[in-house]
Amino acid sequence: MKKLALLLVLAALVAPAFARDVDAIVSADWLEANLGNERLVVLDVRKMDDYKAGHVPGAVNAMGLYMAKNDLSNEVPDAEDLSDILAESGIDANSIVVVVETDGARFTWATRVAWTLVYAGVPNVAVLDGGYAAWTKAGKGVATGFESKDETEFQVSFNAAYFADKAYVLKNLKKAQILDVRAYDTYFGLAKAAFVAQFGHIPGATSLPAAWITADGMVKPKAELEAMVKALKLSASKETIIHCDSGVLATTWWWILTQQLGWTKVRSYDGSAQDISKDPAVKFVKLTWK
Amino acid sequence: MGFVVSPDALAEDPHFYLDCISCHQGNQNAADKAAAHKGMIKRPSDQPETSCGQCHEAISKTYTLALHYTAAGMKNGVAPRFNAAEKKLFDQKVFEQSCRSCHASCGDCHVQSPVVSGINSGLLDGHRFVKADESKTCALCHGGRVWPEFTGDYTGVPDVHYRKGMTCTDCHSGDQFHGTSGAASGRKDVANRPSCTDCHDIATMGKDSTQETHATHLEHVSCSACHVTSEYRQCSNCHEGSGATAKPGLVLGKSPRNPKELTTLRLIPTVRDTFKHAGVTMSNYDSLPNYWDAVPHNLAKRTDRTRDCNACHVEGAHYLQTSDLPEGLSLKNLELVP
Repeated sequence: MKKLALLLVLAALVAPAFARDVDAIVSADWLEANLGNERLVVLDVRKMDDYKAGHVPGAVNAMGLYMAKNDLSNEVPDAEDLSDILAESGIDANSIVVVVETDGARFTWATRVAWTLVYAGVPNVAVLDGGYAAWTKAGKGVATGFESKDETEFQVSFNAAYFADKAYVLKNLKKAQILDVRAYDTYFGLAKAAFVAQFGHIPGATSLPAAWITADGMVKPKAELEAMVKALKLSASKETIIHCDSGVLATTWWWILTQQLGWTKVRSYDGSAQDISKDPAVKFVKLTWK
Repeated sequence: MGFVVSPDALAEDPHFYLDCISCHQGNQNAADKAAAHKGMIKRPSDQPETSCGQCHEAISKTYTLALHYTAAGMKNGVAPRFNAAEKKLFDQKVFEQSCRSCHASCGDCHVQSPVVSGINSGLLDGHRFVKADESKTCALCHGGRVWPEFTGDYTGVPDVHYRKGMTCTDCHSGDQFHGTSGAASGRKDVANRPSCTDCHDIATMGKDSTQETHATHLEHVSCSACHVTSEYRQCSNCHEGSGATAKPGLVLGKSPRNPKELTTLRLIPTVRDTFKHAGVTMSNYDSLPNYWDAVPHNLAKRTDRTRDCNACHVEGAHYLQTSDLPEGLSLKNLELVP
């Protein structure tokens, strides 16, 4: 009996990471069918002009969910600013939020927002597969102008287990599973972004390109994504750190691994290569022909 | 290749009741291009009264005196730095040749985006006449400072008003752009320019503590001093001659127009030899400061100053310091240090 109680307690501790009231990726059909849900907030994160010209009926527009800070390109806003933005959007911890970006090519920016929300304490977040382009392509209803929801009292509560900073990465460099989701040329050191100081990748990092997630702008089937991870012999039981150049692409695989495949030990490195490549103690590895 | 003026536009826009030559002139009956284009005017609304003024008489007349058309704010803003002879030379060699070339025609706001440094983004909507399309018009001329600060593209989070769907014309009325009657000498002289209190009644707004705070600070501190949330662009060198450099900064100091008021200051990059290339000196350079009271369009309900009184009253956060003043600039800057 004691063993059963212990198992239940352990299950309760693990369960919240999987407890979702909505799939991580939703279709235009699902969204249309659920527009009447009082908990639903459709969060359109496109440019204001595009939003005003046409959006999912009832959607609110939100900006400023990532920002340049401390010489890094894409960082999480300060807690109070983020609280204000989410509260003004009518979001609280009980909301079911569907993030809408322009199209499949902007999937990475949608997951960046989705990751930020989950990190901030909103567990039920989904990304609209194919973005607004999929919505209009499916011939769904469109509203114009600006819409708003009643402001909530939401205050963010960051979940530290989803976030890695440079100190955490350095501390876990040798024992963690580090996933580099940039393109092959960048990983191998043949090309690099101007704002990254070194060619190549963090020693020991495994390449898992973000570009593998979508095809024709739509997210590939879960089984296919799972097979990629399996083929690379990545382990869900290991501490995992995902990075890219500036912390946007990294959230794509963070989203798939944690929110779709149920991994629980994954952190996204917000500063990514832009941050750690400045550290002379970290020598990036370039491709060498042997 | 489509037509600049499509059949749809012709059917929808009442302006196309007129022929092309009514505005652009030229010869519409000519068979070859050279003859058809002879005498053609590319930008008819550079002369508002003889173009748009044919129908919009009153508004075209007042617009010829408005700041967007005259660019007088640039001329009058720097004028006290010159003696009479220098001023005359400046008007001829700099203002008319350089600053004045930036004036906006009617079409720059209503037909195509304005040309900035030789580049624009083309027609706003075919050749349709558009009432307002701020992100393609205002955003181009004001794209160095105000617009990217407003949208959060420069630093920090977007302005709270932008987050609520507001754009330029929600606060800045058409009258401000088109002028009303007399010639304006600078933006501070525009009688109907917007004020926060047009919408926000600070006597009744918010909790008791908010009302008390507003009442206490009303006479001494501008709204922006507390509610600007992010660093905004500070240009630290002249935009002529050696070229401008800029960096983000949030600066609080005494308003040069009202020394009793603490406000947000922006560094305006007129250095001592800004107009040297045109042979214009500034004998009275030190009569004006280089920092000017500005309202960066990056406002938030809560900032580090509204959250904690100590930010200003103990730490003097963001306060202009004598040691911050760029070397070689106006001695008048010293008077703005709180």
